[in-house]
Amino acid sequence: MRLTRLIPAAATAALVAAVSVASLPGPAAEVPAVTRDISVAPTPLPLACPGPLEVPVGDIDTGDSDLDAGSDDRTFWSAPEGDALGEGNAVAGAWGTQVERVGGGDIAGLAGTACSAPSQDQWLVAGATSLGASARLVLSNTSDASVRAHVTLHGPVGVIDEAIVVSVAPHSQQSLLLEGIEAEIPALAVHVVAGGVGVGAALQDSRLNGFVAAGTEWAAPTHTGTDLIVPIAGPVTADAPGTLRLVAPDGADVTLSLWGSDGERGWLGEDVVTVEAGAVTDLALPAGDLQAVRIEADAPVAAAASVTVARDAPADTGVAYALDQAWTEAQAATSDERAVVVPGGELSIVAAATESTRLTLTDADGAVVVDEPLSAGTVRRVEVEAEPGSVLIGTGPAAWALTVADGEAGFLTTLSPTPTSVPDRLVTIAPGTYVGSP
Amino acid sequence: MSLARLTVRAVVVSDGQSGRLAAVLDALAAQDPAPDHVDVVLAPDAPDVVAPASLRATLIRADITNFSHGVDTAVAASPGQAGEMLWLLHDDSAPLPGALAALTATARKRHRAEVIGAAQVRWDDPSRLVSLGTTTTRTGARRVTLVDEDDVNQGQYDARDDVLAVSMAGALVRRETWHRLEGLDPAYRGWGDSLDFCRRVWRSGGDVVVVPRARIRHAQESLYAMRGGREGSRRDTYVERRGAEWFHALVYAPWWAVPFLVIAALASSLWRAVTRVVRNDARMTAAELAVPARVVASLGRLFGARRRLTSSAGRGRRARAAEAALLATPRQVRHDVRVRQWGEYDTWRAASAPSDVVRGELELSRRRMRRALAATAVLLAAAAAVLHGDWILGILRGQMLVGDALGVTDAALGDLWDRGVGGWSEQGLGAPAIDGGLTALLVPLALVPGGLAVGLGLLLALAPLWAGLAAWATAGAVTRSVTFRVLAALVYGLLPPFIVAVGDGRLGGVLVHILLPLALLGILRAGGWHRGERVGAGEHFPAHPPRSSSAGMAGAVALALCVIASPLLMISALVGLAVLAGVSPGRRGTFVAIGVPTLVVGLPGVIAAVSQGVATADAWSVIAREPGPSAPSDRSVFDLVLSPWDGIDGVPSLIATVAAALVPVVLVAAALAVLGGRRWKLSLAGIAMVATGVAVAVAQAATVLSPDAGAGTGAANGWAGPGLTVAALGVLLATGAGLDGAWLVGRGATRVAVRVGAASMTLAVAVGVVGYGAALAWPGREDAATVALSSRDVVPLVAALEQEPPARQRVLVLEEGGEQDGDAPGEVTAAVLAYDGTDIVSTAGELVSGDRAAARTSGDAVVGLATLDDAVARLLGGESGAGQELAQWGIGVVVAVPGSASLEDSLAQAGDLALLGSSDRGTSWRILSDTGTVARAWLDTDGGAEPLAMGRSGGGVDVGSGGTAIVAVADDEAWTATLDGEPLVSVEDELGRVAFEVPRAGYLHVEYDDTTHRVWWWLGAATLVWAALGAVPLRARGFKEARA
Repeated sequence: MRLTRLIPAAATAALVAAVSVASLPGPAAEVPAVTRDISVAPTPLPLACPGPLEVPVGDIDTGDSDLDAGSDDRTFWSAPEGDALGEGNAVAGAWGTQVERVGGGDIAGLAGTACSAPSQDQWLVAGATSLGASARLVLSNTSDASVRAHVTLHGPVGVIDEAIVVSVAPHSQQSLLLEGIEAEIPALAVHVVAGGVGVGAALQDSRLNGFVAAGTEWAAPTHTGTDLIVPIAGPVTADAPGTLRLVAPDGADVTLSLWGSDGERGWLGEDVVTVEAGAVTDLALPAGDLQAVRIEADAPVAAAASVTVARDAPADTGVAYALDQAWTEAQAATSDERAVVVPGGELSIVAAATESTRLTLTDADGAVVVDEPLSAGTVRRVEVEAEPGSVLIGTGPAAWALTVADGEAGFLTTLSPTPTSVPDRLVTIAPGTYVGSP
Repeated sequence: MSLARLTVRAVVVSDGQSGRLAAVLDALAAQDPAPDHVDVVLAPDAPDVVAPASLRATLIRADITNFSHGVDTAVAASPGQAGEMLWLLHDDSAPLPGALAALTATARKRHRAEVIGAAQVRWDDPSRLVSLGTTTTRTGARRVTLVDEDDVNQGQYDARDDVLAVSMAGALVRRETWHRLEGLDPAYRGWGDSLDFCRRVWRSGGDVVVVPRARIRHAQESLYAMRGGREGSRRDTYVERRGAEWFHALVYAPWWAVPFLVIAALASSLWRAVTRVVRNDARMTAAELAVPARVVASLGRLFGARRRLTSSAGRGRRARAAEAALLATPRQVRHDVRVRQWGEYDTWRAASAPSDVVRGELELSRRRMRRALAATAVLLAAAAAVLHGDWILGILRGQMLVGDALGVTDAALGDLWDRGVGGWSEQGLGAPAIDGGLTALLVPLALVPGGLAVGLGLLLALAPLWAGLAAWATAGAVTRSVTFRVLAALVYGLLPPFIVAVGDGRLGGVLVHILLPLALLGILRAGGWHRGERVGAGEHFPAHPPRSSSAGMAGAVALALCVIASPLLMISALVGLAVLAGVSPGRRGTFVAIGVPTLVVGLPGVIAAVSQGVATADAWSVIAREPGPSAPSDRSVFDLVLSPWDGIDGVPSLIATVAAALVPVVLVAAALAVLGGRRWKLSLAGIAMVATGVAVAVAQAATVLSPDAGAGTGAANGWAGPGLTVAALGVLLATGAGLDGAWLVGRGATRVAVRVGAASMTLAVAVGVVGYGAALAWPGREDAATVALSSRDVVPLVAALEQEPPARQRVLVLEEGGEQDGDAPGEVTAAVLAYDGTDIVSTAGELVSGDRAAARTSGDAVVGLATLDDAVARLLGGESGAGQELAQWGIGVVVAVPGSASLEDSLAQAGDLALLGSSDRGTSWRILSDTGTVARAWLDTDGGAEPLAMGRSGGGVDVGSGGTAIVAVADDEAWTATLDGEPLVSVEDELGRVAFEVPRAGYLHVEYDDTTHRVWWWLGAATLVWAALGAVPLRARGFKEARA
């Protein structure tokens, strides 16, 4: 056998040995496309005020003023002046408020809300569609182009059905009776996602106990975050219960702390409340005069608190008390400038802060209206004297809400301050390719 | 019959360059009757010659310039006698006995015969004819012989007498005729002067007669360029002879036809040069191309030659009538061409014809092979149909294949060509390219009816079939075993990394896998290393198959195309060819020629790499670039080969296991096959290919490529496929060579052992193939292919229309990221499209670090899509003025793709957009520009903008005033502009676009003019065409010129 015949075998062996011994470089990692987050200052759009309340069952005249659904005693007030936008109006500027007083009927009470800036993604944590409750969602488009909004309802069992798409024409409103979409939701949260510049959203939450009004209020979009404070607008008693409502879009473990005027109060037995994704959780607030709830969560949550004010119900209705309710939205502790327009009525500020600070509120000219110290982890109520139509502007880290009461009639509403500047939008752009849509 | 005695004066002229003069004189002495006088005219420096004593020879020393001059000298030295005849003899033409007697007999019979020629026979074999009279065509540009060269003289031409012309060597010429016609025309420089002289004889009223029985041995030393003891060949005198033929035509043509004949000479030479290229005959190609120059050079002598013809013979109709009947008939011409050009082929075929027994065996093998091939093709086609049958159906329905890695595949032929020739890539906002990218490969695919979408679609969909057929052909060159060929074709055609590459649309890797076997086949055949069919007891027929230059050139084309598809292969291909040239001295030229196309198509890349520094990462990234679509792959090279089964989830585990064992089993079989050491050189070459392939694959995969869609877009790492293809072919070669003849090896127990081993390994591979096939065809298999079918229109029609010339607007396509795309929610993917969909297939602007173009050394970054990010974000975020910024880059339409509702809403709010319409391809908005229309290029003036009518990489318009010409592409030095033909100065543009200062009104023209690129492109194209012509299998049918 010639030696040359061994060459291929030797070469194969050498190759196998070389490959097994040598440490060959692995594949290089791909370089992803350069993605950039770009902050954009959108052109400010007018704020949307939802307009007057509507009687859920319609204005039924029974001949007996105690049983009439509607009422002639209605006062609608809004400031500053705006352009008509459907039933409501569009207010150019950084702030706006509407408050309505209905003296009797099904929706008797005081209902107010800050006019909201159009937004693409907002949570309204309020309302119910169970028997005796009505939830009316008002979407307002103050822009020149129509906007599509996707409305998703969430109840105690989680998200309810698919999103409803509502197209809102330029400079118009769309009102949705949510009980017509899904009835018997005892605790409601509404997620509104809109394209473009977004829509303004407000929810009219009306309750009726038999023939007796059980409270009507406008709910505004709440802040979502992992560290929130909800000021409780009024005293909670057995007759006038209060509720904290939570919803976590992706689920969250939430730690709740209840603050009183003299610091933290014991509340729930467990420290951590687990909120299922998309499910609405209602927690009854303990009785107390002046309270706030601090919410710390490991994922974003949206929250709001409802308090009620009880008054004697008309006789022969079988109900002891008529109620008015007020929703107060959760706020993040932020130093951004926020403002609220002051309506007429008995005004007070409920404020709480995570750190010791001062609650300083000025008017539009910079004159100090309120300047009170605020200890960490406590709640304070400050009476305010201000002209209707004037503005309260705060920049401190405290969470605060303006409560407006008609003590004589037993009516209450709260107004949460709104940011005075349009926040920058973050747009993430990645260069890419396009070969068609599947 | 004249009773006067004929006196014959034999004139032998010699310049002393022939060694046959003595033999000629001896032959003269042997004549009976002998010539009356013999004059031997010798050039002054010719060696002395001793004439036989019986010959009354007169030696004349004279300073002769040519044969005719020599004859004149001899004639002048002796007084003329009435009726004397001159017997003209060259110093290499010796009359056979009886020649003179036969000639003089005819001279006596034929009074009017003024030239009596003899039959020319081979010097060394008088039974073979060289010439027995010649004629020419009506034009006169082709000499037609009247006998087949080397025909055996059996007296079959003995009846021949009148011919148009005879060779002057050995011809009797009447002395007065010689005088009257002033001898041979020196203008012919010795070639074709006999024909001219004889034609003049006919025209002047004489006859030219050939005497077949008078035979002259003629060595034709001039023709074979052997004078002076040189070792020449007929090829050496081709230019002179061909030039003389054309000169002859020019002399005999009417004056007005002369320019046309010169043009015809040029055209004929070019055509003949092409045929020489086809025959891979570089030397004769050069000779053919030299002919026109020779014709032109002879024009100076034309006037004299035409005057000599007119004065001595006449040009009128009567003069022509005499010779008309003797000119070659078309049939004679056809016969002449056939005999001269195909005679060699017939000779070869006759010589190599197999015996009847062998012929029968060959026919049997052929039938067996054909059946096996058909079965293999059906299996591979079925596999392709199972894998991607939906693609084929979709393509037939008019759809196209698309993919993130592939882009759209519906590029127009014109766009492809422009991209290839021009070198401007439309990726991102435009970038210069270092070469034509894949366009050279795509243009043929675009010629398929239905366009590139169909061509490319069928290439990909049926890729296993194409690759398998190529492997079948190559395996057949290595061994003639049917089983081996079938298994090799199946394994290679369904090789796991290849199937992955097809599914991902990695076009470069797919093309290499299909073409590289053909390159290897060509190289094997060029080296003569392929196997003839097995006949009888196992011997091959033919035993030593002829080496084929044509196959080599076909391999060269395939190799060059592979290098286009995967440039990293160039280095190993050239090194491999150099080694082959080194170890096979006889075929050095062939292997060098095979490497030329590869070198030419690869050289622009090498130059670009070197200009990025010799040993830098940038240089390497250029060398290892992938010109076509690319996609990242995080699998290691060995993973890809040994466990590529990510793609076959959902297959029962037994089948998956068998399938996964295929490649290891094949490798073990290969290792066992090379152990025997049969055909060890080929085996070693195969092992070297495996090593090279693995190295190439590892290196390619470890390289980050240039981003496909321009600066800032995602950049993949290289695909190991081409290297693995090389390795797979190496395994094929080593195994085939190692197994060649193994069936017959040894005796007794050894033979049984070898046969059992071979059979069991074959069975194992076959089981692996079946298992793998079953896994691929398993209905529940999860298809990992990322290529999909799509309608050919990608963006809405309203947007696509704006992309057309003259405006050639770009379209901004926005897509909302979703988690299903792997993007972060809320992320917006922005694509800027110059065509209907992202075209990655044809664009290849190579970028190196810092987003610099590899084709340039200026160091400037190419402006990428990132420059638009702000504007896009502001457009979406509701800030005004963003549309203007987009329009500055020629973006005229914004499209929100279907399913991006919130983007649609955002865009609906934007102030500088106007809704164009909504369709199932998306919603489109026109960008409202302050200056009116949006265009790819325009002239910025004080009053607004004048758009240019733009083609792909250039355009123009009549402008009414001066201003700044803007081309909305990333700035590059190769953009030029002219105003009424005068070049304009480029100015700096703050956005990084191409801008020129236009001083006044006039016709403004802008163009991308990259001369270097164009030169390389045409050079590459010419080389490929040359190699493709050389691949036409005409080698064996060469001219007889090739024989000597």
